[in-house]
Amino acid sequence: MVVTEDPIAPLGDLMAKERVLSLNATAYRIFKILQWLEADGGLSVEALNTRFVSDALIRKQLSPDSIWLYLNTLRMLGCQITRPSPTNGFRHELLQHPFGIQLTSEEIQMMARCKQVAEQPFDYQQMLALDRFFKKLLGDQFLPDSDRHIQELFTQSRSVDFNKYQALLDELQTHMQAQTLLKLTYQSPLHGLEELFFQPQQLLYRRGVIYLQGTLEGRDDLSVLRIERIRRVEAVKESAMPRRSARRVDDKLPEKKAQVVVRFWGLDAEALSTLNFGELCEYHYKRSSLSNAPSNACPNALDVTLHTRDFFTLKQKLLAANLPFDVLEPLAFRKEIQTTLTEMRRLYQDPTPS
Amino acid sequence: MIEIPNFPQVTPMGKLNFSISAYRVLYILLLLVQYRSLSLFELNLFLFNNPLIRRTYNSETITKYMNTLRQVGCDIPRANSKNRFHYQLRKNPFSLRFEEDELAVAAQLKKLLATHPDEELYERYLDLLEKVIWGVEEPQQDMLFPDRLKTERRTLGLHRRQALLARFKQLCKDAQVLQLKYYHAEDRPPTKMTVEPHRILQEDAQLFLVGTDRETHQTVRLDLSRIESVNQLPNKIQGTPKPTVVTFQLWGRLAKVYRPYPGEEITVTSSRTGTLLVKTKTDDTAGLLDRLMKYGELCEVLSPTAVREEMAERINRLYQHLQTEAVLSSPAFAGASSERIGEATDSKDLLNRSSS
Repeated sequence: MVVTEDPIAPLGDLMAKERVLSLNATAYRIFKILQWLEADGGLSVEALNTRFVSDALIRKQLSPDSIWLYLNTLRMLGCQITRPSPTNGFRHELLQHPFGIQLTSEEIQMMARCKQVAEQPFDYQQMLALDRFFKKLLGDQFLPDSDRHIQELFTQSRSVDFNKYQALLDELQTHMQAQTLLKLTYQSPLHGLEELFFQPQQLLYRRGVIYLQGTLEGRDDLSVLRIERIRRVEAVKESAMPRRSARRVDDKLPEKKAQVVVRFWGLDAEALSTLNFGELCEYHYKRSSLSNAPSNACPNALDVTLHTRDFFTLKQKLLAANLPFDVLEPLAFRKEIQTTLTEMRRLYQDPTPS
Repeated sequence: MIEIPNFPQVTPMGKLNFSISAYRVLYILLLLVQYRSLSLFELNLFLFNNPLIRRTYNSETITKYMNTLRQVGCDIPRANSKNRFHYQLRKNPFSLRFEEDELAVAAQLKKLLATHPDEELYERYLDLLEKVIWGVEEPQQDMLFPDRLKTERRTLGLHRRQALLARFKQLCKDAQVLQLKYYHAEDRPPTKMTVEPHRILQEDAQLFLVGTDRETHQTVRLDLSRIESVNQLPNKIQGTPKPTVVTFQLWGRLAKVYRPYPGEEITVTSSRTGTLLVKTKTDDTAGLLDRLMKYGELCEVLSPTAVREEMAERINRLYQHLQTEAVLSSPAFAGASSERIGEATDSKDLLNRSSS
């Protein structure tokens, strides 16, 4: 510690303290400017000087030239600070500084992977909170390239930032709790804007997107709508619905799910669990009755009984599983699978692409 | 190395327009934010390599600079034998502030990953949380690690899948050719394969080894649970294989709602025909075809020919197993439900069925 040689200067003064504690007064002032700008976003020269005077270790005003020198020092370190202008109220505004927690591309990829792992067990509210957590880490507003990093997180995880839809989600949650029938204005990718009568049941987070699941006028199975395509929500009474379909939304649907029986060849019970039907279905299985199996079937065919109302996702899982299968019941679903495979086969009958 | 911004340092009159002494002090803070702990030697290495500084400093001068940083609130203990004479920045000078639900879900994710087979992901997430703790106040730190343990590194689990994953990751890292016995189908004996291992892929509950079959020169995706035995040969893998460029076409509803995967290029969009042309690079064509299969008749693989043929083979294999109506009308199927499940999902396009 250096002993002061000037007995007159009070110890509270920064210059005296500098001699006593070996401080760099200029660096102290510059860091304080950075702290104040970080806390308040933007300050004029006058506002800065007010703070200099109030600070116990500075206690005096500084000239605009000195402040300019200090801000240049911050710029040399990588800070982005605007110049005073009429558009910003003649303030110096801090846009970026390099003193935050810096994250790498590998860490962003890791976050994206964490989001994908969390998707299964977490509900949509947890996923939104997780998005906010990661966004705060990446998008600390003063970090360089924060917008780009946030975009990279959503691109890598193939998800949508739904936090801007919080008000809509809250509204839908309220209607679901009240079991209200809704008239939705929906932006369909095929039909444009249309009105739908919908009885919502739950909000689901799947594959990076939030869906509103429920029953749609005129359909027996469950339907899903993407949240970000809902333009307007209106609670309606039963009497508001037009009488245009045989089945109305508010008609009681059978509670139980539809039974689907699928025969798999070359599959054992242990491998069955890896197919991951998940929350779609409850299932049980048995060895198939070989006497009525077709001649080209493998002997260890497995008949799996599933219960679901989400035929669309079940169809996708069956096609993607890369396992020989056949739908035994219900007939309508069986026909749908047959039609799909027939159409797919037709695409490849010519070795050269269409 | 921290990049030095390109900013004119000398005015036309030849004067520096910033404070070089203050710059040095704050540059040291920047280094400590980046590296958290540096010795005097390491600090001087950075200072010397900075074109605006270009010199080293003795410990007294560095102490003065550290005192300045302490005065502005930076928590930097004195360099002593306990910290191996390193200057450590114990907390970020600009704190982050999180909401309660954000920290709660971060802690829930930590619990979830602790039971996930991918230990490396868990370890990397813990690294991230340690960075976060460094930047938040004490009460918020406790929300992330409520048992007050600042690190929760777990020892390698004995769980079978974790052990399997760790073992095959090491085999990929060793980059030596493997001889495997693999069950392609349950009802057939295992076949011998010679494979160059590339990486491990995790999909939901399954673990796959992605590699190149040395006999067919095709990329293969092998379910780890179906590998009966593995033998590491002394031959090293020569170079890394080039990924396959696959082009496929989408149309109809799918083309309108398709969200590209990372790295995919949408090269042509025909608004007239409603068609999308997608190009992607992959070393896992089997995984890619699994995904394209679920798009049904709204997707066609165009090239390369080998992948198009593989897709055709998959479809034909499924098609062959479709039962005839005669079989279904037999007494064994008399109980089959003829329940109408409503209109087929494809016939009425009211819904946004994103299949991606």
